[in-house]
Amino acid sequence: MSFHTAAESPPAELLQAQALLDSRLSVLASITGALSDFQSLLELSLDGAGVSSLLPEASLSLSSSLLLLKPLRVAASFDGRYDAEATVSMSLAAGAGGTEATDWVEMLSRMYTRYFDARGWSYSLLSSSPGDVTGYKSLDYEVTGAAGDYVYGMLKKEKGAHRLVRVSPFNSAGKRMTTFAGVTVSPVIKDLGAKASVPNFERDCTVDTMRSGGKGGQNVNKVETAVRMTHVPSGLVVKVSKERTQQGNRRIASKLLQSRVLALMEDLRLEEVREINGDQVEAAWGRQIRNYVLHPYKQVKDLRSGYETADVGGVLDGKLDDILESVLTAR
Amino acid sequence: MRLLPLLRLPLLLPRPPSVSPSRLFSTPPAAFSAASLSADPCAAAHLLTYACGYPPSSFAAFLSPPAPLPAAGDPPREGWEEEFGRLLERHGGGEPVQYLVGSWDFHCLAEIICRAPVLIPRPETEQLVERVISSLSSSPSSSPKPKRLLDIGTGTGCIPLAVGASLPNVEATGADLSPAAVALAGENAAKFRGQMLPGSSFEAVLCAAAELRASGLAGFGVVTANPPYIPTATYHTLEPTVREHEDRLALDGGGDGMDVTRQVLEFCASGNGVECELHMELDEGQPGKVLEACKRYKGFVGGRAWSDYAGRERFVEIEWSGEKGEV
Repeated sequence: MSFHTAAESPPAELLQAQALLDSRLSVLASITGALSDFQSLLELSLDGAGVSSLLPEASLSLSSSLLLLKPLRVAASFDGRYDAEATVSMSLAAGAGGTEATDWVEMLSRMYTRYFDARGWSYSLLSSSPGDVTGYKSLDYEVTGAAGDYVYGMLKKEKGAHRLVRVSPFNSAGKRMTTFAGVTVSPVIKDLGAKASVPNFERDCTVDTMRSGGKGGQNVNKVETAVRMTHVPSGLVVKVSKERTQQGNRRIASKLLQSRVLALMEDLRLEEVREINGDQVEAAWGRQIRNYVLHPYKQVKDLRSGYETADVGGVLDGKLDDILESVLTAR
Repeated sequence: MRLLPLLRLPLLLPRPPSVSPSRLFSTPPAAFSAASLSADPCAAAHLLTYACGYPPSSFAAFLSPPAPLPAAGDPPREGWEEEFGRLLERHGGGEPVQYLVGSWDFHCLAEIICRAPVLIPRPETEQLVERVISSLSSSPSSSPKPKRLLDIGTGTGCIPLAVGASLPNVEATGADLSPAAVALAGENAAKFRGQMLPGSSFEAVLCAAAELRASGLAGFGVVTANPPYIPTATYHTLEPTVREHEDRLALDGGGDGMDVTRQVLEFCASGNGVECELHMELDEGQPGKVLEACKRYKGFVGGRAWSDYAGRERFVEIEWSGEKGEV
């Protein structure tokens, strides 16, 4: 930590932290202000001061300022080491189920990208693997919000298996089908080396390119430069194809993968990389967390908070605020 | 009679595009056959990005409609549909994407100029650059003298330019026997001059590997090469996009594919005259033969072969003492 003289301005992070705290304090101030206004009016009217006509308005003002508590309660749940990270990588992967599953991945990607649009978060595609008929076998996004948005904190509870139940448009018998898609979310840790790092990381990783078949080099000219990087001790894999250079993709993959390993260790409360095993990864990130039922009734239910809504269409359109709030504030 | 002007009106209005760029991949219009888009969707995405006038890095957005269009909804360049159709057709005929869009990224360099028939930089070569950078960074730099680097068969100049943009104090020369390559490397040298780190530079000269000694080029502490390494017999089996569009002189390495490689070894062993490290990219299976061939030279100190990310052993790094002659 450098020592600042009065002449120097404080670093950006401190200013941002201060701005965040100021905004929270002002929310509390407006709530306490509305509350005391209402209380005073109530006392006056009970004393017969004839101000009872003002009560409805004061009540409304109090209710709307209490709504501001919602995001504060959500923010209070951000107690993880990486919750404040403004950039995350999010992967969607189709479970078994063929076309129904790949279509489900596309539906989920639409849900999330609409939510990102509503939040004003930017996102870019890191890699994609189209389904044979439609949709995607997998999609990887990088999502970035403003500092103070706690993007990882907001999305971290989306990790797990999302279950869809509906009459499949791809099944000729019009059967009701169940399919799963897996979501993983990892922070992309800013200042990786300074803040945290995985010992011997590069040495423990293998890299392979999509050009493994055939001769390569001068023999071929393909524009595909995707890189798949595996961290052997944990088994975690990342694929990146967004850059035009292999080197660029490799650098991104390394950063994402290291962040992913660190996030996994944080989730599992592990101190050492060698403590990770495949079962733990499955248990941490493969659990079923939410059902989306379209037939014979309409309901989205989160299995952790118990939150239910019949507005499946709204949820799949990106209206995630209520669900996220319920999960993040659930104990 | 009054109907006539009304009938003519639609012809005067600008014709709206039949499909927006972002929907092109999910619902290709008949004009672009689904086959041409799906045969190589990655290439098609690059060509579409170029036709629309979007930044090159936005190509990934076109591979998946849920992702947003680049530049948040900026309209594509006028005439993008016709241009894209033309580019797709030419690519379908075998022309490489990099020649069609005129440039490609390599290592830390964005948009290196590419032009037929100069060899298009390959992704594997980025690994060669990384090795050179790591080797030069770790060597004890007790002397403040700059390192002199010679890239034999420089083509676009991608290797020395990437090294110079990553490390300071590397004075690089790129030699090539093709005037087209030397001219192109010169254009890239000018384009990336501002990206060279302090003390680093690059210039291209017209010179074949066999002529290096005679030309007086010598005294390089680092020599790099990605020489033509395809055996002549195999050359005819190369895919058309390589064989019919990229310079044969950059690819055909003679009977066993190692003619030019041997000239490079000869230069390091006798012509260069100083201690140096040689880094080469070859074809799979050649590094072992190269190390064998080096044994006859007095100046051969040692070397090792290493693999690319696909597990193909294609790289070799060799140390030379500067002593001339054969054992």
